[in-house]
Amino acid sequence: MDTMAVQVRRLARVYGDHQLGVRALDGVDLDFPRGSFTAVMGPSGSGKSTLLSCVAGLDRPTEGEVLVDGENVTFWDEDARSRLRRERIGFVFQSFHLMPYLTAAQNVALPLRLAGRKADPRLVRTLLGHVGLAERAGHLPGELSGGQQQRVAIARAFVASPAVVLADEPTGALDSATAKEILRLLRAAVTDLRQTIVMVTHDPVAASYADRVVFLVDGRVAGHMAHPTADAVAGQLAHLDQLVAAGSAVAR
Amino acid sequence: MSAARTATRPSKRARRAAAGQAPVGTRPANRRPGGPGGGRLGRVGWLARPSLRHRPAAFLAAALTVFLGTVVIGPFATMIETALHSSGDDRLALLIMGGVVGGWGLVIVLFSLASTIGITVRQRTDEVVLLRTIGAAGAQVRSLVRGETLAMASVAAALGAVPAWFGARALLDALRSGEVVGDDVRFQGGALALLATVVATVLVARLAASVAVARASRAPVREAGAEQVREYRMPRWRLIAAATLLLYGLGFAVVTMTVTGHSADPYDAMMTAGNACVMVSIGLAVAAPGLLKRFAGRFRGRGAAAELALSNAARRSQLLSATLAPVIVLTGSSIGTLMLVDIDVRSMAGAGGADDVTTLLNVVVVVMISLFATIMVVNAWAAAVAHRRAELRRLWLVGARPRTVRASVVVESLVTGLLGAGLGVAAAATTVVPFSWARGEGLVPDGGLWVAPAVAAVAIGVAVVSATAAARRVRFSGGPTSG
Repeated sequence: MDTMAVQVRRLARVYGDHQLGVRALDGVDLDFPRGSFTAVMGPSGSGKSTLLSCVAGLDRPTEGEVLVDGENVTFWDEDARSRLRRERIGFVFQSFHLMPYLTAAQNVALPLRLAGRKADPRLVRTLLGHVGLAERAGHLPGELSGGQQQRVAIARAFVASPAVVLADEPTGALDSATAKEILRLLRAAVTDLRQTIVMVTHDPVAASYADRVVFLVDGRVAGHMAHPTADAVAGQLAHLDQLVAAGSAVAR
Repeated sequence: MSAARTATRPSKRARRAAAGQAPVGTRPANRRPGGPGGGRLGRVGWLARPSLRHRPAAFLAAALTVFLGTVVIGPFATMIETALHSSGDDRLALLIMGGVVGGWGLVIVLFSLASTIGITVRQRTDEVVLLRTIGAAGAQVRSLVRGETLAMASVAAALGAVPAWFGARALLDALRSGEVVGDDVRFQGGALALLATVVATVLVARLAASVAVARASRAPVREAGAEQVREYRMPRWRLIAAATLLLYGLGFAVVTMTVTGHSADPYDAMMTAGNACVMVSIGLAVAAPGLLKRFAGRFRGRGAAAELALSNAARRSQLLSATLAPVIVLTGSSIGTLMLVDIDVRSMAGAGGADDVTTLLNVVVVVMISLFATIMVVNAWAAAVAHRRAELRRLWLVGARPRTVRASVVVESLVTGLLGAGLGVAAAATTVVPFSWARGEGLVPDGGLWVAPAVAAVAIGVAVVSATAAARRVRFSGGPTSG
């Protein structure tokens, strides 16, 4: 138990009517060990983002449970969920989602300030230095490039030493050179600092930075791939339908 | 650095969990922020300043409403305070001026204030959702929005108290020189009345902010963030409030025709009839989202601009209804009251002329309401268009000409203007028809019918001009990510 940062058990999320509604997630079982970097892939509508939302308590699962640090957080109320996000979960989004009126340093410190903790300026500076933005601490997001904004968002995600960082298409809005820098930063956080990252992505190159790829199709886990390479992932994505057929055969 | 700390030793939470202790977040009963064992919540007040500086236009629009609201209500509140220090007929005249006229002003100002604050707060849903995503508690978001509103409203209302004081002196001078009250009536300080006005205005602003932020701060984050373009249904409290106001107003109309119309004092009928149009106008204004949806849903636009405008008006009626409501109040109460005065002057000509004081009171009411409602129309359009800047740009990105985009906003203003003026005329009829009948002119007054189309045209004009001005401020050049 203790070695798992996040576990989901029989997780289901149904939108609309329970019987006829859309099953965005349909009985997903997954473990995310501490210090691992997992990429979640699948076609649009396969439930990738819903999975992240349920883990983060942004959305309530219809069935099943979510464990963070071995603790069942499924039935926590809204206040407890916001505490969960504040203290144990870091976020990186495709569109950065920085507060436009706060400087880079203030954005990084925000999760700590929300938690009523003193934001140690040295910690913020160190984190900004790690992502290569020590010189830009006083700039507003509007004055930074997309890649720089995403690096600020990464520093913000790690500031509270979360149990897991959830990244939703972190490179989706960036050019390929900038995307590589961002992926290297995430990889380094896992390798050097033993952080845990779960990243949703469409990009086989991005997925190749992870330790493991999980394929989702129609809200179900269709397969895993350890030590992925971009080519292998791309090949697998092209034949997801076969994976689904094999997966359901195994399940029966 | 903190990230490294987790690597070398488990976090405090992990240790707690390992030791089998209750985690800090699992006790729903323990909700008090900062309470023993509860999760600590940081103060968020410091966010208010950069946030307000980031949105100067929305901030100023709300502050202007609070400021003007105080300027309008203040003098009437002062009249009541002055009345308490005088006696006899003067006292009664001042109480009517302050209580009746000021009372209507109060209702309209507070309604407008609540709707403007509501728009400005709802515009920040994205920001609220983002803050909650990275872990802000609902209570923190609410206290941020409330704190900002409180600070803004306190400053604006306090500033408004200064012109209100001068306004109060001017009003009393006018009443004295119009011989409504005796020359010996002295102006009484006004400090207490103005303080009460400021406090009331600030409290209403704060209440409106709490109501507006409630959904985004309480619902599960993913639902709170979903844009509300599904079928809109008016909340029940809104329906009940609208129905109550409508029935109350119609009740005044019925009472005018059945009871006060036969009374010996010809002004009894005016006391009841005069209220009807204001009540019904506000009732219709409260129901504006539902009415707009019905109305716009009936039409099919010709051309891209008209089609866009009508779909938007029908599907997102809550957004545009903020611009519809003041048009209804403007036309309804102005037409109703002006025609009321007109009928009064005509029918009393044979009986020694109309009562000057009453005429003055009515004119003051009309001027006050019209000015305020006009500002609200301008304000509401500025806010509604600013809210949709990104969306309007998106239309341009998919190939609409800036002219078409701007034209669609102008068509929206025509739709809301026409509907608002139409509803306003209907509301005015609840005053005009009973009063005309009570004064022996039949169901349709003998003269002054031009007032209705004239005021309606002005109201539609105000709506179209403010929408045009707001749409012209939308910029379409620049990269695809800005805006």
